[in-house]
Amino acid sequence: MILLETNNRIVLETLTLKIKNAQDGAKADSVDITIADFDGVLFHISNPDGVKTKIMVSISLKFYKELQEHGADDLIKREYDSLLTTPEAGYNVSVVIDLENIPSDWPSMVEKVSLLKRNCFASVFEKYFQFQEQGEEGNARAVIHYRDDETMYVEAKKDRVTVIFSTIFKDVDDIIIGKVFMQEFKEGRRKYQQAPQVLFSHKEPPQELQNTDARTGDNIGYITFVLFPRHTNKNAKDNTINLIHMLRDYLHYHIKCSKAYVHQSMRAKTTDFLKVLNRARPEVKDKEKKTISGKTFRQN
Amino acid sequence: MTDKAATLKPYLSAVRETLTAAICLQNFDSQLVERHNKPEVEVKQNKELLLTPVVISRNERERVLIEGSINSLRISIAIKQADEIEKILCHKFTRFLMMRAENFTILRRKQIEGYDISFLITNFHTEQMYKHKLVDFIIHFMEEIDKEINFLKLAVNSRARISAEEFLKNF
Repeated sequence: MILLETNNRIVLETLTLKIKNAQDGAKADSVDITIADFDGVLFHISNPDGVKTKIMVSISLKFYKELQEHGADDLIKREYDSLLTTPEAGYNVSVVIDLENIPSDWPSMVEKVSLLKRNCFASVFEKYFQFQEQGEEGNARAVIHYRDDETMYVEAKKDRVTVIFSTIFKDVDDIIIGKVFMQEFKEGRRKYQQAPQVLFSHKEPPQELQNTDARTGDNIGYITFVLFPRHTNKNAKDNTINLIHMLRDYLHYHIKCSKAYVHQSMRAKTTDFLKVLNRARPEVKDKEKKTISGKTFRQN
Repeated sequence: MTDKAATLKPYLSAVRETLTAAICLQNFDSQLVERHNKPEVEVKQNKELLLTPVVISRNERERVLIEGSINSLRISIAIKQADEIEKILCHKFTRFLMMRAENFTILRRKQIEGYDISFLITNFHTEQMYKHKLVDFIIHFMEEIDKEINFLKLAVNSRARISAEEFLKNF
């Protein structure tokens, strides 16, 4: 699987199962699952107040406050409307599904619920895409600390929107493999003209972030996406948001896959070497022999 | 490219000949400590037991150091590492092998300074294994490790290209 899925598969499958069970007339079971998603996001599927026919799905993001500043609440309301309820304690957003009143288009509703994380992020992007569309410049840059040491910056200009990801490479080898990947991203435009421009800066923040307190260091990389109107217009924006907000996880996922593949290949090669080395040992000949009269003796 | 291939054969045959000569080992108890039997090439206490070390270079980066003695032989190989990714792949691979030195018997757990991997062959090994096959193994190893590192580098590059394309083509 090359592309990461935007929605949360566990949420999707659990809800689908519960709904199918309810539709088949089976008695509803209690459910209490805590799911971890990328970027430290937690989902919690449970029964509110112990009522088994209602399923509550809650999401908690450490950086929700920052998203709220950019209108996350409005977007969530817009998308989930009737399903929303007061957030569970310790969580930021909660939706409730009533198993006794399942709407006819429930697959799309379930899909929406599993996209909770994406929709929380979406508000920032939509806001800045709109700035660009209206030609407004000079708005403050959006800063979202979506991971402990990693930040995302979004800025709108008249003819483009720039999204900058700062990412940390915990392992020294990751830096080098990461550079190889970013080199390919940079050159992707040659093959696909419609792709956004990608820039990569290692150790130091890019030009746009000079004079801010952006971090520097050997293991820090900055990935800049320049999105043009063709990516941010009304028709394309949903697709763009889907792809962009997962980029950091996508990159690190593939770096880890490469390392696992290298390891697997080394393992195979080592067994190969061992086989060749063992050819150097002489074969053990069968030392036991029998004479005509039936006596067995050993030969040295 | 032909230049590379042209130097490979003489390089390997030089290594092979030198190894075949140096691998003539016999048992020799330690002259300094009673009842001890140490590989003299590691201890290096008595000059008369050591042979002159030989370095066979293919180019500045690829070379082999062969140090002989009366009862042991040490072979150190410097592997070609042209760029950063080859460096880390080589480093990972040699570390992987050296951690399994016990299985390999003739492999040394730490490489000699300036080289990437080292082998130590003692008279006990040559008593248990065929000498010409041991030399074959070393030569095979030298060829295969270069091929493997190239293969892994290619795999990482293709994965990078494919994942970048898959991502960008959706815009």
